[in-house]
Amino acid sequence: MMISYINKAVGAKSLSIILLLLLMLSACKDAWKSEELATETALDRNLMQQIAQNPDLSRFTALLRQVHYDALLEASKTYTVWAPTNDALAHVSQELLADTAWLKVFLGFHIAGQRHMAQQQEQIVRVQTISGKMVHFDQQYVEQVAMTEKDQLVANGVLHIISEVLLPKENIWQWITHFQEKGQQQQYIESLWGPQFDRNASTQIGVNEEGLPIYDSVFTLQNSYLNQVADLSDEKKEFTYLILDDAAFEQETSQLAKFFVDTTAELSAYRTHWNVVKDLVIAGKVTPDMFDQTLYSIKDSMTLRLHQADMVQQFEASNGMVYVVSKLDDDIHTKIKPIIVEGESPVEVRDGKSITRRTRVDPNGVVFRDLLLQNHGVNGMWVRYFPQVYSGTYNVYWRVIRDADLILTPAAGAADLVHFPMKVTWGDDPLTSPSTPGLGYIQEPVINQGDGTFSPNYEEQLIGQLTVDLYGRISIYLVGNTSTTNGQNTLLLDYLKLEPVY
Amino acid sequence: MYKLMKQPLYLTIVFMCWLSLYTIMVQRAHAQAIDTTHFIQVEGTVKKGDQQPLSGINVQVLGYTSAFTNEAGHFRIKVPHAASELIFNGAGLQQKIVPINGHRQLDVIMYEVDFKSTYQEIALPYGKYPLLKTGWAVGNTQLQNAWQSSGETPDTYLQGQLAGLSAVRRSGTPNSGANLYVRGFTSLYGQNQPLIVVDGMIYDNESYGKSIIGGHSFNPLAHIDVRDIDEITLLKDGNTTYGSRAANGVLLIQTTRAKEEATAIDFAAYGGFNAQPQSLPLLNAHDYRIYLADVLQSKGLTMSGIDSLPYMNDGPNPDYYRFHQQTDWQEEVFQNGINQNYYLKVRGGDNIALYGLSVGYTTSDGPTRNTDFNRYFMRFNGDLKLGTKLTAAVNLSFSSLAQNLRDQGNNRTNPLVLAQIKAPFLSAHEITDAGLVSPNLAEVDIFGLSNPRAITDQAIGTNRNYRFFGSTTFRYQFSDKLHLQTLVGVTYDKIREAMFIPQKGVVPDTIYTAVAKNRSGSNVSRLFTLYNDTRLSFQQQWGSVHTLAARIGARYSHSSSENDYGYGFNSATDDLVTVGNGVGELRQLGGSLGKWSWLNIYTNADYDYLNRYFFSANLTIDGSSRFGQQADGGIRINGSPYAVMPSVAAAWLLSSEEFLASQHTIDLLKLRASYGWVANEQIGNYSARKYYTTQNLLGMQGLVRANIGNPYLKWETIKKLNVGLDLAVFNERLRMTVDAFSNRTNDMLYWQYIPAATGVEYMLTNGGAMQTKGLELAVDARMTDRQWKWDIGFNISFYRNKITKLPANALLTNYGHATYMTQVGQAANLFYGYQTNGVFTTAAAAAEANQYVRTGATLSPFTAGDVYFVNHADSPEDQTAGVHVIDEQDRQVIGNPNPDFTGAISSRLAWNRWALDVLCTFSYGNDIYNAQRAYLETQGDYNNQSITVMNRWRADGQATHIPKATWGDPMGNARFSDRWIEDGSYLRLRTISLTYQLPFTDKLIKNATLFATANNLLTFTRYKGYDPEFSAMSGLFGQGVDNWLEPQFISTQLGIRLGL
Repeated sequence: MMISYINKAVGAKSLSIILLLLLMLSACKDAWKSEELATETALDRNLMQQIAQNPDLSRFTALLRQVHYDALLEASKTYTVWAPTNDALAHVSQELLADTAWLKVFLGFHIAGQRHMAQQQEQIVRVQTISGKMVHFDQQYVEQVAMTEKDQLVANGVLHIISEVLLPKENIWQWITHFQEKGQQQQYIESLWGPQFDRNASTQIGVNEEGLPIYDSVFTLQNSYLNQVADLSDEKKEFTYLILDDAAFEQETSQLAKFFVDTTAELSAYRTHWNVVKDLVIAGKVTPDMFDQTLYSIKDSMTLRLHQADMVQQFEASNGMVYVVSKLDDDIHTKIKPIIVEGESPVEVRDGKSITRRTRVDPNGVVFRDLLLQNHGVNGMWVRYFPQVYSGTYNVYWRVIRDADLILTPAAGAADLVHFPMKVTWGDDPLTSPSTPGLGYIQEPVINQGDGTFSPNYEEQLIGQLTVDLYGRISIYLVGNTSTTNGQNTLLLDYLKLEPVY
Repeated sequence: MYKLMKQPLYLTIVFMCWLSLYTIMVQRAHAQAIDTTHFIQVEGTVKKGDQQPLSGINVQVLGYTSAFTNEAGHFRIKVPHAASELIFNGAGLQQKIVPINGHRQLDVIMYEVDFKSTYQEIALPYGKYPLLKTGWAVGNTQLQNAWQSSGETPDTYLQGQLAGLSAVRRSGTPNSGANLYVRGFTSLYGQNQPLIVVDGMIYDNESYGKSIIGGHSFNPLAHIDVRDIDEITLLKDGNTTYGSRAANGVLLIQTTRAKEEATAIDFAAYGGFNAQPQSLPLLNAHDYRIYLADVLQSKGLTMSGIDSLPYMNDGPNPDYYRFHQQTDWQEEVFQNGINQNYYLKVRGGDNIALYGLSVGYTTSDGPTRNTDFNRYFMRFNGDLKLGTKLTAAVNLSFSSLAQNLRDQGNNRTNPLVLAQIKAPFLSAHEITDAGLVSPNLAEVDIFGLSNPRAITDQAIGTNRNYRFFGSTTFRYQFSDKLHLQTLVGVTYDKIREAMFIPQKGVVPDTIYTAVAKNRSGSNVSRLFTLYNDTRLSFQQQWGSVHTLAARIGARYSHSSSENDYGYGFNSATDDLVTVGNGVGELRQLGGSLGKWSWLNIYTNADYDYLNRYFFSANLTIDGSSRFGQQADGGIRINGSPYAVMPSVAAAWLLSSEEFLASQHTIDLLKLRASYGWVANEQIGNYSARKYYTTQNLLGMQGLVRANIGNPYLKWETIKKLNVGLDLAVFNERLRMTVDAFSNRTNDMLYWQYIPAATGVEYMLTNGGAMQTKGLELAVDARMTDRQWKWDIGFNISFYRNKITKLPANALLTNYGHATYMTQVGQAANLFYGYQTNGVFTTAAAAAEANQYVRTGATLSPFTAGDVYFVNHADSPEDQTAGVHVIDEQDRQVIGNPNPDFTGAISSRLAWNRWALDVLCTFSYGNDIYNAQRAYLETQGDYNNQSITVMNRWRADGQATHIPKATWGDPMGNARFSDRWIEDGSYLRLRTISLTYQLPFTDKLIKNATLFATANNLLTFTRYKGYDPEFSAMSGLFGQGVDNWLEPQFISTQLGIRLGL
């Protein structure tokens, strides 16, 4: 009796234990389950799935499959897609869509690498698409097309939906190439095509004695304008390119012609034209609201301004702007700049003597280097410089700073410093020949304080004029005193400045 | 310490023993003739649980009368006193002790031998003793199912067996054992593991010197086979028998001895399967590359920059196949394995000598590819009658273990770490441009990570160790009241380790003066211990009313240990794997030496009045070579300090009182209380003295002071109070034990910060105190007792720990990227880090919170997608500036690695020849820092991540709790925070085994039993790591951090046992 009662009592308890165990069993599920993807997001789908499941994007889906971009959007890299709706695609001509090459570029222009969320773009950004071209993108618009749905996050990127298609624009270079009205500037640029060494296409085949690479030298047809001024076909950068109409081009040419006189008329014209066009590219996109501001050319920082009144035509390219102008408001002083001949960098020293290059600080704290050549014992010591100069007349200045290394106190009993006169000559014989054109000896580049002390003169000194007949390099000499006495035949020069007479 | 050896005290004790013996011998009383005239007649029946009468049962009153039951189970016996007790014994049945309590008629139910009875005799420090009569808090297991648990080591076997003992398995590495904690912790820096005594001799369970294999800890208990064990008793309270070694309880292990002269041979063979651990859900190659694209974008790479990376190039290219694989690296490093073991046990003897001999071999594969362990073991136990009064017992065991291991530390040479973070699109093998897979293993990858397979397949990590553990006990019985016994034993242990990390496929390491391409290591540890325990025992009974047993004795142990290790680097090729082949200048050598002695002088008395009131008292005086010479608090003998530790226990058998004796429901009701002082002498061999250590300064080798000797350094004292109740009702079919305890540690060791002028940073002092209080409950019930026999056991243990005194207010410790705080008034060792409140899902939310990280003088704001750390405190400057800076001041207690409770549920269902044993273990409320998941959700580098990062924040308003992926994690989103503090609660189907006794008898084979066992079959947990059970550190600090140890795995086994 008692036992059966206990059996019941204990049985009930055991039953409750079993129930408890079962409860724990059912309550315990895989702990990681809670970490699985939240269902309200599309993070368990990839871009292609997300696009394909949207009936409004069925045309886009079909086109993606047509050029096998579906594999790309299923892949495990991240992309941003701006998907045009069926309505938007309906406006694109069937002819164009039938062109697979164009279609690839067109669709590629709607797909960018990496994940770009609209909400994170506080300013307009340029995003590279897989077509190679960039799109402008901000919180509301892509290429000025409003996004109807933004930031649909999926596993491998983000999807934006647009109600108009994005049409890839030509870049500046493509536009130039296709530009129908070929004026003088265009013709000149086209004349710059030629075979050139192409390092990317060449393979290194060895190393020379100096350790530099030797290539198998593949030459390809290139335009030197792209190589030397700016690569206007580069989609990642933005440029503004100016085209001068023929009148403006001729006006610029005539303004520059005197600086580029060469041995033949053709060569002179070529140089003049190059110098006209090399400063017609501006880094960045100059929009009309930037007219009348000072702009700088990409090559040599010529300053110029654009004016609405001068505009003949304008075009927006994928990588910038092209303006056709009837007049160029540029600053000749920034184009034909003074020529500085650094004293410490001669190309030749008489008798191969060694020179001293000093590094100094001027009273303004500016560090400069200069040439010092002393105690050489040579009568008429010289150093030669070989600068590139424009044709025309220059005012010649020098800066010679006599200071600590020199004896700035007069010799015993003398009322003045020991001087070492120098002169600047050009031509073949630097020393004494009367036929050598040049500027005579100059004595006094030290400031006499009048109280028996002296201080160095940091100013440029106008020392005379120089006229050059032809554009090119000329030899300019700094010639020392005709004396073998040390201290009196020293050569000292910070720089020579050749300022063109415009 | 030789000084102790020479001390006259020890000799005095031994001499006194002999002297008192002599005195007693001379005065010994002669046994009186038994006069039965005043005896009371008692009669009754003895039945089995299913009411079948039992015949031939021996009924006796010890020392007086004896009788047998007839076929109807009826007996009649005369007893000397109304308070006497009857002892029932029968073949195959559990002994039962029944107090008469004045009854004349007794109906007794007896149970089969493996029934857990309240009446059984259990092993206590001075021999077998009835559980009924002890006032101490003890637990006991008779290892009923040891034969089907052959894959266990004794420590792992104990899991869930005893209330108050928490056995946390260290890792899934075979043989790695378990860390044992009796009622929580008693010390911050001292020993927290119980003392282990095997057959009366202290079993050294420490490891000397560090393993050169990362994360590996050596488990001396692996040398004992569970089938060699008869029973295990756990002393949980302040029983001071073992004095200053008993701070954390004592586990008494008794190995099997022959009980009968007849020869019995048991042979068993087992074979089974170890299942590979279940992989963590990590990103596959597809999702990983998307994650990588995000991280690279945050690093600032452009589209073309990313496209130019070889693993992002999907077009035809020579590297395509090398970077477009799909590899599950966890599959690569884990393995399925097998386990086997063979065991032979022979017992028998004659009236002069009884012997038990066992030999065995065990092998098991580890969860990591190419890891395994092998063990050969032998044990001989003998009992010899050398004369009528002189007996001897011999216990000898020798075993040899060999293990193949791999790094399990928090290192880049741990195959598990590598398997988790290695890019899944790579291959373990070299691949040609055409996509053909070579058998050669791949080299270091593009991200600078080693090939995990190079570690599993080419690295070496071996551990070979031997242990001899043997003792001889001589016992001289002067009379039935008095005996003298002495035990002499030695432990000899040797561990040899070898390690090699190859150059191929592994990232070079940077050492002080070189880049280490390949690395080798060698390690040898030795331990030698001499042990003696000598005591004089006296016992006397006065007419069933008074029983007294008393002992006086001394224990002495002297140990020496040595550890030598060497590391070699840059041997010429990966085929030269020993230290000697490394470059001479780079070789690193080191080691340690230790010597220590311990003397324990003890007296004990157990007194029993009317079989109803039980008293026990101990007084122990301990000396140790470790104590500082100026240590106070104890007594001084011959100038040396000795700890004095008294303890008392009392038990009151209420069920024998008249007011309860008349009813039949309650078989047993006992109240217990004990109080004692124990101590912890594990304070470091030389901490109390000044010593010097070698130091290398810019190539100059020299000696520097290593510490400030603290001559006042003393033992930690733990005052333990225990109150308990034992209850058995319904003919013992429901049994319950409840214990409540309070442990107070004083003079707790503490590394005190000292001024830099001393030249050392910290000094060991006795400055702390803490207390642990707790409750334990164990319930056993026989649910049915007919054709079906169903036993259910349940035990549960609670403890709460509190620091009551520290020299500094708060102590911060670090382990494996986790920070712990130990502070007065709180539990020791709490996780201390940043609280989080999800992530800032919108820029507006981030702006509103106005939170920053300070780097130098710059403030970086938290933005959308960063973790929202809870700001708790700002400096006055920041308050003025109106900004919230997330810094160390904002850390809070974010978790507690201590469980609210632990325990187990066991069940045994027997029917006919079948038996089904089930053991479920559980732990509730312990927090775990999932360091592995933290590493897999850092989102700041090339490492592979868990699937959760697919939910990472990417867009404003995205509802998620995973922050954005950012290269380098500049905002510290992955700092130690509650993001990775997880609930480590679990309920595990720990062991399930089915036993079938084959129904045949044969002349050769007496019996045969089949076993089918499965371990760790099911685990219910919310924990996200491999497994919620692990224990990297035996001490307090470091608990609850899930580093990259090998996880627990499911293993199954089929076995057969033949009785010959």
